[in-house]
Amino acid sequence: MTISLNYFLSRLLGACMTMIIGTFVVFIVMKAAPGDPALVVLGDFATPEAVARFNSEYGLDQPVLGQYLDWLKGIAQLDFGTSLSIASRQDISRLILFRLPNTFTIGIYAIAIAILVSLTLGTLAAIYRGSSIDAAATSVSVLGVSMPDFWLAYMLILGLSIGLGWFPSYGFIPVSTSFLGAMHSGFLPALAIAAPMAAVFSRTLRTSLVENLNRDHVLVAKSFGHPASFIFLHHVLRNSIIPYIVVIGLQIRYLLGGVVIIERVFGINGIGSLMVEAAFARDYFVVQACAVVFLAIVLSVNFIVDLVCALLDPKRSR
Amino acid sequence: MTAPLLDVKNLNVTFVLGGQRLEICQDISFTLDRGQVLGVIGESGSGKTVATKAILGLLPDNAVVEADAIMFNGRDISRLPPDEFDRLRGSELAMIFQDPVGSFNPVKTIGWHFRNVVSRRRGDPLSAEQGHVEAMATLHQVDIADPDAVLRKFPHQLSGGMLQRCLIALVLFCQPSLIVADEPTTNLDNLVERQTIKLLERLRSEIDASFIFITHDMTIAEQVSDQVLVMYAGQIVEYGDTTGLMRNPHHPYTRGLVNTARELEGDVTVLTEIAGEGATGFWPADQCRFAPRCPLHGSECDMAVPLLDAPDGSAVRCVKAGLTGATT
Amino acid sequence: MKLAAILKNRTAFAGASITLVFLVAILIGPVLSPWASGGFDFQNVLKPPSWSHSFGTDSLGRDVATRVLEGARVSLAISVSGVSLAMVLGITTGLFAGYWGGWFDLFIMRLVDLLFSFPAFVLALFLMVVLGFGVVNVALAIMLVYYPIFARITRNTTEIVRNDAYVQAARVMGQSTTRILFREILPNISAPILVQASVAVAFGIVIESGLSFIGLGVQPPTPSLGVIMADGQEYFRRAPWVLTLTGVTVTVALLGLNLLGDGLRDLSDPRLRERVS
Repeated sequence: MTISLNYFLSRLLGACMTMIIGTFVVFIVMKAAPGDPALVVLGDFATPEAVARFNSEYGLDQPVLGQYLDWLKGIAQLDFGTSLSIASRQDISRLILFRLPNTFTIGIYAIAIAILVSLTLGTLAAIYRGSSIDAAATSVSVLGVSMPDFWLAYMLILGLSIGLGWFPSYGFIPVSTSFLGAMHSGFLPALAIAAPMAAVFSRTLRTSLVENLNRDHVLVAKSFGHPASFIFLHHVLRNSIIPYIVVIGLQIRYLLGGVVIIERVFGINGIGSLMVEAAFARDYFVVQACAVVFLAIVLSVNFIVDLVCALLDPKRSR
Repeated sequence: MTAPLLDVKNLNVTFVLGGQRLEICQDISFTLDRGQVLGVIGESGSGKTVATKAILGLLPDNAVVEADAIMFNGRDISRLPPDEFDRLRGSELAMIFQDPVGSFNPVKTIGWHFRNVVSRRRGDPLSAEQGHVEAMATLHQVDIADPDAVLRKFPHQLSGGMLQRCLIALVLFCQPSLIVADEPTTNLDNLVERQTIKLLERLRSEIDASFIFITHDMTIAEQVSDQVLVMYAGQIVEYGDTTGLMRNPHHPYTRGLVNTARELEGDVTVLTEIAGEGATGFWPADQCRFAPRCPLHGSECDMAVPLLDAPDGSAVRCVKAGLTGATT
Repeated sequence: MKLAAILKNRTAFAGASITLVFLVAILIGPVLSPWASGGFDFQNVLKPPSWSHSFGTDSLGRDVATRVLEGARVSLAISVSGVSLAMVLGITTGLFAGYWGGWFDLFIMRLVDLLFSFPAFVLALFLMVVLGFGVVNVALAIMLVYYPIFARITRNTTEIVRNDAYVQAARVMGQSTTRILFREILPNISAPILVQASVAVAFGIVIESGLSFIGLGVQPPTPSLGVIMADGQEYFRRAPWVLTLTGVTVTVALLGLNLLGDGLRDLSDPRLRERVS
């Protein structure tokens, strides 16, 4: 199955446009924040001359639109400016570059866990629908969405870290240092993020599977004598995959949100914890850079999900 | 006389819904000889589809199927374990479903469907190449002009009529000995319907299979079947040779159907209606089920009416048909 | 979706009961509690759960259970206000956008898309940086997170029903657009909106507690579920019950809301009925 070039380009264009509008909104809104960057760096008792010098150095005395365009140009070249307070005068890009892989690792780890768990739970619930297995799976799912993720994180720490000592409760070993170390130290945080997602994915998959189990072509396939496993794989699961993937794409929004707190809880050096630190330190430049990074991640994931769905759904790509 | 291909003895189907038992079919018995076509006619809710699906083992899990025996090719398939039954389906038993559009997997091509039934064919196994050639030949047999293109298309790219032919072709491709056609033309518009009926008639003479043809349309039943089974409220009310039954229907319901069919063929301004509506599930035990709608209803009908033999070889479930002797 | 139907559906009933119990508890609990709100008791610091203190005490000797109930009031109030605001704005803009179409629709949908392009919590966090911390701002952040959801649902369903017979009839009878939107269309599309509302309040509490937990939301001494959990986190190893039991409370409350939302969804979806053959 192919996608038309048209489709691909129009989606890409849409994403770029949203990106640009997004950066503009972030920038303008950030400008409205109380507090003066100059005072943040130089302290409340800075002299007017020092402030003026600071402002001209950072281009803050330019017209707002000009500042925005400069910033945008910088972003296009992956230069996010310099940090105000967290890492004084250092390139924000380097900060981000250093921390991004950690966020990615945890994020992908979480999604992988969520997909594995939900495929199992959702399929079990659908096949044994109406039975106690279904009820149990559904209860676990509802519970999964009802727990605050950071609370779950602490419960996991209580049980698996303090209690059983299987996993560390703090710190994260980056993948570049040790893959196994990353998997080990990243398990609890990934699990905490994955739990509510697995819950939502399971429910979606179950609903989708049950709908497809009732479709005519399933009965037709049975009438041709195909074995149940074949029918399930190719007539039920295959047809349920698309809404499942769509929901995964939609949930990314909440996944990334969870990353922010979980990174704090487990002391992981990622974009989430960076944003929180910057928020406390009033480092507006870093905050807006993080916002833009998150925006880019969400847009990219949406774009990929769109493409994958178009590839899998013959009605969309023609 | 050779044994019939299919011999159904005393089939009963009940559905269990939330603790309640709904009786859908009662006491269904009939035979089908090789190369014959049995038309099963009845209105919605008469249980005609459920009975045939029961024979093919295609009912959902909450259906309770009980029968003295369902003999197919000398084997009682009502007692068959599921995996053996799976083997029979496709190769020996097949069904043409009512809604062609929903019968194909929307995310797969028509060709994919053919590829997967190659292994279910009766006869020698085919290679992928041969299978493709055979598939095209079968599509050609159902009057599809460009089989190669069709095989590569997705269901949403084809019309309802085309899809119905593809479905028929898919069934033919497996070369089963018994084909159940469940109202194959109901969802098609009139012109396409007539073309499809013509196609089925032609195929019947071309291939070596027996048919059970379900319909609610008496004219179609008359056209295609050798024998007719009339169902009402989950029971057989009349069963006999098509010509005999059409000329001389015994049961009031059959009479109504035949009259309507005749009227539709001619030019009439007024159609006789069969008064009332059908209903499913709960029947009074000691009463003829057709009584509420029957013009001949009288107090002698207030009993559980058995299926009785008529002198011309057919069977009727009506005390007023003036018969002697009893069957069942 | 009538009351009787809610009572019959097990999920909705369970959800409604739990939520009701929870609401009653937080309304009258602090009043009935023997412990004064904010009453410090330095003799009884960090005591584990007992008969007198069902949830134990915190680092200032306060009865945790009472605090949790008070905090729940605040969290719930914030979440409900935020979601209500989001509903009012979202439904209004959604109705007009779905009905009129054209540039207004385009504009609203672009706005919604933009808001959807940020992770929910990041959006909330960003707003807290811009607006500053505090109860009101958290509610505003929740409103910002949920506005796009209500706007989109409303707009999509409005678009589907705007050419229905009863709408056309109302138009022909000369009813004003506002009347048509709010008196004819809204009642008919309210089902998915209500389902979303209960889920929204639940997750709104999660957002609030998350923000307060990391210190960027409700500021102490105002209690909120997040603030109490932040407290509990500080001495988690020594006295895990504060954080644990507060979280259990939150979970139960959210369970109620989510079950209610699920039940409502089941009730309004005709496809979920059993098929016979």
